[in-house]
Formats: sequence, C-alpha cells, structure tokens
Amino acid sequence: MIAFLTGVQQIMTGELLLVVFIGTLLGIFVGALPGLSGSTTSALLLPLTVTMNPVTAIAFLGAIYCAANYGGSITAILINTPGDPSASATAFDGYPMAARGEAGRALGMSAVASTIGGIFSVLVLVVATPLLSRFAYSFGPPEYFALAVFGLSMLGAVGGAGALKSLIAGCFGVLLACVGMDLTTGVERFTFGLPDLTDGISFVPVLTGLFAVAELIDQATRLDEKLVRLPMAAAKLPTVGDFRKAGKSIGIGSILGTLIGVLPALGATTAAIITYNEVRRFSRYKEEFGKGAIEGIAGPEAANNSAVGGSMVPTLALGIPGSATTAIILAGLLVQGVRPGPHLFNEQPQFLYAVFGSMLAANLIFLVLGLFLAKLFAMITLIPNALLWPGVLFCSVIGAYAPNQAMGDVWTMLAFGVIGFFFRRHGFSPAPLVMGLVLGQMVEESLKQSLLIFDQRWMGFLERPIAVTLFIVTLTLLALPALARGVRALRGRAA
Amino acid sequence: MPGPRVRWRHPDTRAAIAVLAVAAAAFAITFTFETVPQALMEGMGPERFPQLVIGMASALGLLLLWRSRTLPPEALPAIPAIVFATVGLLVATILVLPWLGVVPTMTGAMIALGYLWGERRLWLLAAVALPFAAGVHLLFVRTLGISLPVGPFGFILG
Amino acid sequence: MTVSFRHTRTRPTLSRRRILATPLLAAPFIAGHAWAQERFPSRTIEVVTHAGVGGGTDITARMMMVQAPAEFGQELVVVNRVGGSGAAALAYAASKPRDGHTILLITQTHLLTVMRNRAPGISYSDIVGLARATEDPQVLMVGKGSPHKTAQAFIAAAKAQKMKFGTTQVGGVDHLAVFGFAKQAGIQQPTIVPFRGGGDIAINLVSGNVDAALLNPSEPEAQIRAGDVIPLLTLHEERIATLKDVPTAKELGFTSVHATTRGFAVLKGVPEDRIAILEDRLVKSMSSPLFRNYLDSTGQARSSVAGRQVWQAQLDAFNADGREALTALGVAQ
Repeated sequence: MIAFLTGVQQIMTGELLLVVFIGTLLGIFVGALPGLSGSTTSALLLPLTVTMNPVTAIAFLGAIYCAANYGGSITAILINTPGDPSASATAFDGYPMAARGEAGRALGMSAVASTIGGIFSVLVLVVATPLLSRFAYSFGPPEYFALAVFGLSMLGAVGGAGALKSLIAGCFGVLLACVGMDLTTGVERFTFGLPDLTDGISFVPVLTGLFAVAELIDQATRLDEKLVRLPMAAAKLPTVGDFRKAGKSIGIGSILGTLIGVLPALGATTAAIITYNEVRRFSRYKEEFGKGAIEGIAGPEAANNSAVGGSMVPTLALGIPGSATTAIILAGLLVQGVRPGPHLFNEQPQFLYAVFGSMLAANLIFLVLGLFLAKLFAMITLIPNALLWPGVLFCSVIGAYAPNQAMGDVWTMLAFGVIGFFFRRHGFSPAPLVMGLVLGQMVEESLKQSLLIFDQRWMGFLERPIAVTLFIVTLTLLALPALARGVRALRGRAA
Repeated sequence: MPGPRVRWRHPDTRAAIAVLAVAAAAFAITFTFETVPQALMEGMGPERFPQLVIGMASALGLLLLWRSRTLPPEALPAIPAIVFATVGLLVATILVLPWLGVVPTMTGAMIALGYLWGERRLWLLAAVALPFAAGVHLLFVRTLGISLPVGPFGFILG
Repeated sequence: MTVSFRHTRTRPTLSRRRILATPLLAAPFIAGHAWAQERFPSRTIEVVTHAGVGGGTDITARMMMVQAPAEFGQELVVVNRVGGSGAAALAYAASKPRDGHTILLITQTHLLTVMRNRAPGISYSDIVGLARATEDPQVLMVGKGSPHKTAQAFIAAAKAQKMKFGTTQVGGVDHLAVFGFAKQAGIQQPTIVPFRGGGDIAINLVSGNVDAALLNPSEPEAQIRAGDVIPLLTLHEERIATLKDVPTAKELGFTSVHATTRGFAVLKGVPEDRIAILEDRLVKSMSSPLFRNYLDSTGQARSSVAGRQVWQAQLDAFNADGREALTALGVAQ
C-alpha cells in the first residue's frame, strides 16, 4: 500500500494531473450526453492516444472512463434520459426527485456516492487484484445463470406498482432480450426480416424511449399545469441527514459493484440494476422507491462507479476486458506495448500506478466539479417545458441514431416512447422491463451454455458450489420477509 | 349483478387483455422461426425459452384479468388532443429525417414542438434551436467523425 | 511528448481534423500527387463497416485512416452500418454509386451473410477485394487442466470421444473454422458451446468448462504466459513468431489453415484504374508505423497487410470452403 502511494505520487506530475483533469471534464461531458458514451469516446480517441507517451495515454483513458460513468447520472436525473446505459437505474428515482424540485439534492448525492464507490473500488483494485482475478475464473455459465436468477428474483418488488404488474413488465423485458440471432442455434427470432434487429434490440434506444420520450409524451398531457419550482430549493445540496440515510446504500453499492465489475461478462449497467434491487430490499423506506428515494440514487451510482474499478481487475490481471470501455483501454495498453497479465504487477508497475492514480484523481476531480456544478445544472429543471423538451428530443434522436447509425433504432425509440406512455398510464413501471432486458439475455444464454456443458443434465447445477450457494441465497432472501412475518406473529402470540 | 360493461371499464382489465394479446401474437411468431438443421441442434431449440417466458407472461396476465374483475370500475383521465399532435409530430420528424438530414430536421422539430406546446415567441425558439443544432453538428460530425445522414439537401450545411 | 498531444492541453474537445492534420503537414507533396491521377478520389471517401463505433473492425478502420488522408489527398470517414451481420453495411454500399468513393471493410462474416442469402441483391461475385488489413491465425488451445498436452494426444483422444469446443456465434466464422478443422484433422465433430467473445472462451478454457477452442493468439495471451492456457496447434502456413514452439497442422501431416481476416473491398462496377489506386493507397496507408504498431500490439504479423491478389485469393478460398461447410451443416440455401 505504501509502495503504491509512493508510486502514484511519483507519477502524478502537474502535467499528468492536467491530462487527467481534461479527461475527467471530457468524460463528464460525453457521459452526460445521450449517444456518446465513455466507450465510444475512448474508441474515437484511441488513434490519438497512440501518439501520447504510454503513461499519459493510459491516465487519459482511465479518467474518461471514470468520469463518463458519473456523467451519465446528470442527464438521468435532470431530464430522465440516462446519458450512459449504466445510469438507467439512477433515473428510476433521480428524475422523480428532480421533478419535485430537488435536483440539487439528487445531483449532489450522485456525485458523492459515485466518488465513494469509485475510490472504494480502486483501493480494492490495489490490494486484491491478484486474488480477485482468480475469482473471474471460477465464474462459468452455471454461475452466471445463478447470478442472473438472483438478479431477477427481485423483479416483483421493484417499480412500486404492485408485484403482478412488475412481473409482467419483467417478462416482456426478458422477451425483448430474445430478439435477434439466437447464440446457440444461429436462428433469427422476432426480427421480422429487419437487419437492424438481427444483433438484438439495441439497448440505448429502448432506454431513451422508455424514459425520455415517454416523459416527453407525458409532459404533453400536463401542459396546462403551472409548474412552480423554487430556484433555491432546486439548487440545494444533500444534507447530513441524507448521507446518514444513504450510507448503507452506498456501502451495498460499492461492494456489489466491485464484485460484479470483476466478472468479465458483466458491467456497470448490471451492477447498478442488481444494486438497485438489493438497496430496496434492505431499505427501511421501501415505499419511497420509484417516487424519488435518495437511497435509490446512492446505491446504483456507487455501484456503477465501483464497477469501473472492478472491471479493471480482469483487464489488467488477465488481459480480458470487463466492459466495452475496458476493451478500448486494453487496446490502448496493447498499442502502447503494455502486456496485461499477472506479470504486469511486477514488470511494469508504472502503468498500474498511472491507471490507479488517474482513477483516484478523476474521482476526486468529478466530486469537486460535481458538487460545484450541481447547483448550476439544477437550474436546467427551471427551463420552461416548451424550450427544454424540444432540446431533449434532439438529444434523444441523436442518442438513438449515432451509435449504430440505423434509422431502425430511431423508430425503436419512438415505439418504446409510446409503450412507456401507456405503461405509465396503466400503472406499469419501466424499471422491471429494463431489468428483464439487461438480465434476460444472460439468463437464457448461460442456461443453454450450462446445459451444453452438462450434456443436458439439469442436475449438473448441483455439482457447482458457487451456483448452489447463489441459489440458496436467492431463496433465503425471497423467503426472508415471510419468515420475519412468521416470527413476529409467533412473538405476538407468546406475549 | 352489475352489467359487464361497467366492469369492462376498469383499466386493469384492458391492460390484461393487451398483455394477453401481445403474448398470443409473440407465441404465434415463435412457430415461424427457421427450423434448426440437425447438425446444429443440441439441447434447447431457439423457440423454447421465449415460449417459456410468454407462458409466464400469459399466466400473470390471466391473474391480472381475474383480479380486475372484482375491482370497482374507474375511468382513466382522457388523453388530450395535444398528445396525439405531439406523437404525430414525432412520427413526421422521423419520417423526414433520412431525407432532410439529422441536423436540419431536428432544428425544425425543436421549433415545431416548442410552438405546438404553446411557446409563441418564434425568435426565442430559433435562438435556442439554432445554436443547439450547430453544437451537435460541430461535436458529432466535425470533431468526433461520426457521420450523421445529411440527406439530398445536406450541401446547405456544407 | 508529441505535437498532436499538445493540442489536447489547450483544446479539451479534440478535433479530428487536428488529429489528422499532423501526418498531412508531414507530407506537403500530396496535392500534386493526387492531381496526376485524374483527380480520383475527388471527394470524401466513406469506409463502411458492420461494427459499431469502438468495435474491433471499427478500430482497424480508424487505425488505417490516421495515415490515409495524406495518401489519398482526401478526407475519409467511417460509416458504421450495424445489423444483419454485415447485411446493413453491404446494403448501404450497394445504395451508393460505384465510383470508388465508398469502400467496405469486410470480414468473413460478410461473406457468410452473402452465402446464406441474407444480403438481398448481392452475390459473392459482386465483392471485389482491394487489400487485406489484418490476418489473425487460429490456434488450437486447451486449458491447463486438460489431460492432452500435445496436439497428437488431443487429436487421438478427439477421435475416440466427442470434445466440447468453445466458439462464438453458432453458424458464424469461428464455428465454421472448428467444423473445417475437425474434418481436416479427422476427429469427431465436437459439441459447440457458444460464447459472446474470445475473453469468455479463454476463461472457460482455464476453468475446464470446455475442452478446447480455436482462438487468435493475442486473445488469451496473459493466460498462455501464466501457463493457464496451452496452445497446441497453429492453423497457419507457418509457425507464429510469438508461439515458436507450437507446430503447424502441416507439420502433423494435414492441411488446416484458418484465420480471422479483415480487409477492404468495393462492389463490382468500380473502374479498374480506380481499384488500382485504392489498392495502392490503402496498402501505403497501412504501411505507416502507427498501423504496424497496431498489428504488432494485437499479435498479428506485419505481412497481414497485403494487396488484392493475395486478399482476393483468400476470399475465394473462404467462399468455397464456407459454402461446403454450410451445406454439410445443412444451413446453406
């Protein structure tokens, strides 16, 4: 640890800090913009980083990666449009808070939770990378299947619209994940012959439609209502009481985010979604979720940023990228002649210091910037609807179109805008649908892969200790509320 | 016994019927999947998992339908005309998008949507929309090299 | 610190023009160069890929394009047309005039899509190769827990017993390579366990969930160095520099050559002289130190970059083999 801090100190010259600062600013900016994600930006800048010296290049990419994950929450909170898919869980509660005039509280919480999660994961990365990297090897398809089932087990509870409707929405999310070419047979499903659908339904347009466009259509029904938001309240930052309330959520988010981030097949989006479920499960204020719970922002934001550090573990220690952005960073490392692997820690530690140092610095920089700018950004919620929402529309269309440059994605966005509008009208929540969509593909693929590995014996799952443990945890947590009720009833009778 | 028409009015009943209709359609589609050649077929076919999920959705939909029977009838607020106008504007925007190009279309759509929503100061709408469009064009096309469709009239923007 | 980096300090938003300007300044003679060639290219060239921004093929295109504006005397832009395993990219190229200003960066996936009649109106004979960009050989690998430590032992065992191979998409390029290899090596057609990417396959090799896989040597590099993954057999004409001890299939007495390739192509109809110009400029663009560095760093030989003769021959060979394999698997129409 001491050696590490000395190493970071040596490498963090003023010049490098400036690069990290620029990377952080750029990262927040592209993260906040729908349609530009951290991975896209890193990819576009990759040819440029080749001309930098290796340490600078890695620090630059690392800073963009960290900051983009935080940046996504800004637009998720302010205009219900996750700037980065990993911020979709943040929109569940962030936007309701902003809508009732507490944007500053939400933004402030997001900045603080992101920083804590981010720094936690970097510290874990420093201490435990060699250990955690073996953890990635112990996760095969059966374990991923158990994890996906664990994630889906809370579907009925999220959304606050009644378990039945949430489960229905979740089923449709899973069904949407089936669209496209089936991995194990190569057969196209639900594609209607459209090439835009063969690789599956694009996640970003669905998200933008369900959140931003549905909100836009919903706003149209409420044009007559006069909105009175007090500028002073909007710019208020979270209080000590808020942090006390959210402390547990940040803790859950940091730990879950780091662990899920370490698994190469899963990234920040899954981490945030699973954390949202767990934070709600262990919250004392369950009824607030979906209506603007500050814990519902703290947990997922801590999780998606700690997943950043987590996903660096397999990237650096195994040379296997843990997310789209780390794939680009890996390419950046390789181009610079850095060979990731266990030996990297002994042979070229300066690159590790550059990665760790820049990530730490980026986290601190966006904390300061985030708290400082939160007041300013919060003012966006005061812009009249007739001026704000046309701009959101522009961003949404670009966001849906730009990544794949397919018109089909823009239509998908509109279709899900209308679906989202009717969902809301009939008391369905988009949250379980998004969860189903994120986890659905993993459930199906890991199940089929497992069965291939087990020669189609379902009993094979019982031979995998980690999977069995996860199944038991899932069942226990599902049964917990009923058990607690039973215990309470027994006690009541005894008294 | 109250008339069935009153019960019919509960929104959950309609939602449940919509769920069942979508599930039925999706189930029908699973039968149109290509057949998998024997050499590639190992374990679960491509239609099994979706059918399982559709089955679950249908069961839940039936449960929702059953539960809504006993709920008192209740009317949802009517959808105002402006919503249809807004959705119409969105459809029109996406239809002309490939022809006019992203930046000109979206500038027009921004102004049109603002006007539709009651902002009558056109100069203000234009003052917001034009810098916005210029910013997007500069950022995406000029700086990052992501090509956006320009359409036959793209030359206007250079 | 280099020149182009200095700009980033003063300008947080990095201009692509600025990035590309550096090599442009270094070659002030290109204006006259382009003039001599009947002013082709006369406008921006579009490079169409089927990968999204940031995908592997997209990065290859962007690496080539750093040097290309200096060679072509024109700007180049990447057009990402994701969808349909290349069908969307092919359809886009087909909608453009055949004047050489639209080039495709294709992979074997595009050819498979064409073979399976999933790219309406385009047949294999419409694709004209220009230059190969990357060639990543496939190597047979097993996990360290595998009882078969040599290629001979593995093949002998695989004749008696059905192995499990990790691949990507069923019916895709990797699957066909496994099919072809199994046939050429005379082993039982293995059970295919498909994964989303090479990294996942490497992990499942290490943990023993699959018996073997065909992988590009750079994918499990860290695992090979750590001894967690053991390369057994190179499916390439000659041994790979980074895996000197691994024999080729030919040394074991059978021919089996499989590689993941990417290269540039146009659709039929582009005038012959323009094809020659494109080939020449592309090869030159890909001879830049930056592109070489990119090849080195991804574990690919510098000889990956090749002109259209080599590339077209490779496309033809893959087309013939692929058709045969698809028919054998029962999926070709």
